[in-house]
Amino acid sequence: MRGSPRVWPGRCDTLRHGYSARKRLGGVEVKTKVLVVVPVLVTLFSFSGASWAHHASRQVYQGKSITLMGVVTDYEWANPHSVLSVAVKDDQGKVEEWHAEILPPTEMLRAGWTKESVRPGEEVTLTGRPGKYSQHILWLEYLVTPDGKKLGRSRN
Amino acid sequence: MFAFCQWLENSQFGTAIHQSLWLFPLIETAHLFGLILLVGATSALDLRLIGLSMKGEPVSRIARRLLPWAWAGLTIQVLTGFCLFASEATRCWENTAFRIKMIMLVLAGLNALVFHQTAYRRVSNWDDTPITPVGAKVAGCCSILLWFGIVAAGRWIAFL
Repeated sequence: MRGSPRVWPGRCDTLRHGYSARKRLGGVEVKTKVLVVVPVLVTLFSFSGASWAHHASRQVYQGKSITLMGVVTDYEWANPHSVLSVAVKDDQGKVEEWHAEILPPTEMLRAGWTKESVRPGEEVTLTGRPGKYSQHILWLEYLVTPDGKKLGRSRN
Repeated sequence: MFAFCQWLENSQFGTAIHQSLWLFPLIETAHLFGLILLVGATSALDLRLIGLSMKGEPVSRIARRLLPWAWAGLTIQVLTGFCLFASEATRCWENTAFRIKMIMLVLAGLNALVFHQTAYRRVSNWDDTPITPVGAKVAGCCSILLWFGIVAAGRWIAFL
């Protein structure tokens, strides 16, 4: 059958014209309307506030940053975000573990981090925005290592 | 199930992807290519089933040409999807968007199965007609809505 010409019944022009005429609403074809409305809705949806949460971080983290001092318990380069865990002592002397979200590994490199930037046991200072809904999570803005080196979301 | 997720995530396979530099973004990219193939092919057929596109072409011919691409896409999606899942299994398992996505995947499979067992069995009766039977229209609509929903839910795993 491959390549042999075939005439499809139902492809005659009168049928096609009759069909499209019935599908017209207000002078615009239904198909055209669908082709316009669907992409517009999808575009609006993808630009809606919540879908930017991940990268703009405003939905998950508070706007105001805080500074914490503590001892590194864990430092993992990971996808989609690397995480630095730090034991922080509060005003009452209670120790709580905070988890700071940094960057994906590829961006860690670009921002000047290495896997040896911090080690468990080291005392560091973190500045970042705490979680809105979860406790003890931080959107890390920058970190100061024991030797005074500042590491953040970009070089410098 | 949660125990299995923990095991998978902590396995050498899961950890390697989780901590990788380029592997994770590469798998994510491949997951997008598979998505184009799969949802592109199914959506084109769905539009014909609904009666919005390619009205002059026989349904069975469109199906025969597009479905192999959809299957190829699905294979890529299952393989890359499993890799991405393995890297963050426990987080996925607890994620609302991920659960919705999995439920919709099952529904999309059932929808295709029901369509092939019912309306598509009698395709020779309506193969060449621009106006498709109700069963085909329903299957086409469900398929497009479910697959678009699966894509949306997949994207939302990162935000919920």
